[in-house]
Amino acid sequence: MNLLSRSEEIVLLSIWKLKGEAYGIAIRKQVNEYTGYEWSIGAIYAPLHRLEKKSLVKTIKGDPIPERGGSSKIYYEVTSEGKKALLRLKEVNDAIWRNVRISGLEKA
Amino acid sequence: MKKKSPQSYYPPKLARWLLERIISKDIRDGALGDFDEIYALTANERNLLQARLWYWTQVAKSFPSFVLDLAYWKILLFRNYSIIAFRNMLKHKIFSFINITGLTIGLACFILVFLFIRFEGSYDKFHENYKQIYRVIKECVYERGIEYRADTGAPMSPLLLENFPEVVNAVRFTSFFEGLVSHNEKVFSEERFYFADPSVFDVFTFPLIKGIPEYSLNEPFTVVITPEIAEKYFGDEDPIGKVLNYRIGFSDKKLDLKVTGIFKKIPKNSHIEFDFIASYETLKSILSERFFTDHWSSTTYNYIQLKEDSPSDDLEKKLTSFAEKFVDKEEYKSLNLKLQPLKDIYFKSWRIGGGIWKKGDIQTIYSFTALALFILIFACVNFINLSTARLTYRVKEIGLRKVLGAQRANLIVQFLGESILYSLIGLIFALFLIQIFLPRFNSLINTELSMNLIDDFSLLVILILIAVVVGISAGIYPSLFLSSFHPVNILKKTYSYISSSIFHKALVVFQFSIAILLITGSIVIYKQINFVNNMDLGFNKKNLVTIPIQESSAKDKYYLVKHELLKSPNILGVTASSTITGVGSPNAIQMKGPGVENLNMGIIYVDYDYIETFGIKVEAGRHFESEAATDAENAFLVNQSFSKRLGWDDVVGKEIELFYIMNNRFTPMYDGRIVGLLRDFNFRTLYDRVQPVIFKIDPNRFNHIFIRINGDNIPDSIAFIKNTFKNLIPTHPLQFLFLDEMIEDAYQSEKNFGVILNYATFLSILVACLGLFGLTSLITQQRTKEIGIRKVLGASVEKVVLLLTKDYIKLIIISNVIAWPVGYYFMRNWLQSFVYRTSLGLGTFILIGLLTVVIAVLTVSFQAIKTAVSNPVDALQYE
Repeated sequence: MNLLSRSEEIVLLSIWKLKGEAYGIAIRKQVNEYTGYEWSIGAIYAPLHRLEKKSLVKTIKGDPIPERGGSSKIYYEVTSEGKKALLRLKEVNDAIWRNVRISGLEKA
Repeated sequence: MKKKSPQSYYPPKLARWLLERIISKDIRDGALGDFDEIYALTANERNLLQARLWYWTQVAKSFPSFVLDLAYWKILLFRNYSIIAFRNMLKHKIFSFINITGLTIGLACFILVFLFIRFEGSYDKFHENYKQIYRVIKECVYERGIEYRADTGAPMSPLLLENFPEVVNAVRFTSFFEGLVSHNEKVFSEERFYFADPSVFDVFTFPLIKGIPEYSLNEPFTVVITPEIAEKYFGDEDPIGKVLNYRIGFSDKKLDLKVTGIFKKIPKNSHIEFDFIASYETLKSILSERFFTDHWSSTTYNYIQLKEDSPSDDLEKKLTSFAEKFVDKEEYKSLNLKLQPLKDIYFKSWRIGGGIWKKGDIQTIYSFTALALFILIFACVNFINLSTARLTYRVKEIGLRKVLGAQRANLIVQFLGESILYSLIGLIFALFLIQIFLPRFNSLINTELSMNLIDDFSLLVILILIAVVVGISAGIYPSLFLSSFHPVNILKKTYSYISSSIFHKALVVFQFSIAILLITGSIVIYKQINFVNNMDLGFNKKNLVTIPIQESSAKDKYYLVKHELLKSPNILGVTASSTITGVGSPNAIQMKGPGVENLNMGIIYVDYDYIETFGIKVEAGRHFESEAATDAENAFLVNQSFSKRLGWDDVVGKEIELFYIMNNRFTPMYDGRIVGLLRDFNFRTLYDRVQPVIFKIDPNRFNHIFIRINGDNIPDSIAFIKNTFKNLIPTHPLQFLFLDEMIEDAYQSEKNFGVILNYATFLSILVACLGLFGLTSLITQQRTKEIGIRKVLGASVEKVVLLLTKDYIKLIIISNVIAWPVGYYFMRNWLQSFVYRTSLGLGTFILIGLLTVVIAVLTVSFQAIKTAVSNPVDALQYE
């Protein structure tokens, strides 16, 4: 299985962390907190759409809500494929960070 | 996320509408709601303005990616269309070849005519002040009608400048027609020699290469010339300060003119043409004062430049009373001065006499445009015919596209795109063709057309636009037609369409009717030119060398030259006349005789042996005889038209008196007796009927020497004539022309038009036949099975060929029937402009009919025979 891009990874992880509350705005808020800068809505949805196409996430349509102009929230949920992918990502991340000395990096 | 008494906020409608369309379908559901939520949140927590601002910013930010996205899909579709188009093009090579060839030829002709029209329309517009420049012309009202003239005399310009403040500048051009220019031994007769005011270089944009515009023509006896003239007379030497000798017309006035400037050669799109401009001051020193104050009808052309915002109408009104001062009441009933805008002069001068320089012919533009349009339309018709007849090859693709969701509009765009593609490919080939044929076209119609697409970007854009328009015109019907079928019918193969429909037949008839018209035109013009060339003019035009007399010394030494020339056995006769026999016009004179007073009559001055040298028949009496001492003084010859006009049966022996009436003064010229009656011969071109004319001996009025030479030994005779002239009158320029060639040249414009019409006819037939060939191939292919069955059932090859060709022969015959009366009407009108004209008999038309049928049969039968001789098994085995 191919590795995901960084933005896909961040978005996927956010969905996992948000559990049942993962919809566009919540995901965006989470991602903004992690990365420390404002992601545009499009920047969230582009990886979301790719993840969906790779069937790593699936969508669940919520009830229509008045604040959203009467449209429903679309909730995202990590599929079993997605869980596998996350695990694999963690392995890779751990592997590449193993034995990395942080001390030298900070000075740069 | 907690909300304190959340209020419902809806984003601006327009912005939301836009966003809804912009956001990609895949994420629309979720994202749109998110945008709304954030909007409401911002509006609640901050304020409405910020929320709106944010929302609109989001719309604006999404726009670029939306456009890119759209383009991406369009490009994908476009790529698919292009691939399909090219595949089709390669798969159906004959079809592609026919269409591209037709469009290439059509576009090439059309672009050529476009360049021609652009050139003709650009006349005189290169002058910076062209909008303010006017030519002064006069409207002379006579008893017999109105005449417009451009020669308005030398006093005009200074008077206008003096009396009307809105006239800021003015130029006069005065011409003495032919004159001799010489420098050392180089002598040439020059026609494009004018005297002009120094302001010529201010008013007009004729740039000086050397010399100072303000001063070059200030002094008397100065001249400015073109670089070509400088090279002709001075070679590589610097011409400035050199002296040219000019002899005015036939007079003995000689002028030494100092070259003070060089101007750039006059471009071809200038109606004014000159090679020499001498200063007007020069004229003042050689002509009497009267010329500049009273002489209103000298060949002087006046151009004035008005103030920038001064309307010419106002000045024209003022000129009415101004003109009355000098109108000669004896001559005209009234005379008005008119102002002709410079930009109109080239095309709107056909009624203006006293003619000068070039006049455009709008008729030529119309006929060229018509010819080019015909060929282009033929190419479009081919495209329409072949595309619709080719339905069966495309129908599955169309059905599938429709099933897969293509709208009719998509298909129309696709097919239009294909026709535009064909047209653009045609354009590329057409541009190559034009590069090859432009010089030939230029020499045929005497223009300086050029096509430089690198320097002239706008031209390229125009040409591409033309090609696109042609592509759309050719493709619009087929695309509407092909996209009209219902997909279910297509895939079930229940669509009904007969390939050889009335529509195709009508288009074929249309093409061939016009092609037949063009053939008629070509043949009739060819016949007429031939007729004119071979007509018995009443004299022998062969082996006659013509030399114009350009110097009075040649006139003086004419008899000496004649005597010397006749010593050679190769010279059979030498004579002279005031006009070029066969081309020129007689002079005018008035006549009195028994029973006639003040009759206007033509007169031609000739030498003694004119009649014998030209081989003109004497009907009664005798010709001039040098032995009869009084012949030079008081003998006349007349032609048959003369005796008919006057109703004199026995014209020989009648006494007549010839005279002029000028300014109410009676000036007697000759009186004497008519000694001979000549059979009518065409001393003018065949545009004119033979007119009554009197022949008189007068060596002072000879303008042309005619030498009849031995046809077996032309080079020797020419060399001998040259030597004789060189020895006896070395200053005379040697210009040799054969009379028969000169007569032929008089019909040059007809000849050139004939050549162009021949090309157009050939091309139109080629394109029409290509179309017919393609159409029959397609239809024959569709009938392969039918023919196979016919052959199995015993039909012979001849029967099958006849079956396949007879429909088309019928169409050609119908085209002939339609085209004949139209062709007859047009060509009879055209022939009407000739007094002597060829016949327009049924024979010509039958010939044309047979010709077209043969061409069509050859075109059609190729495919028909191929199909007819094929093995029916091949046609039937696949089912």
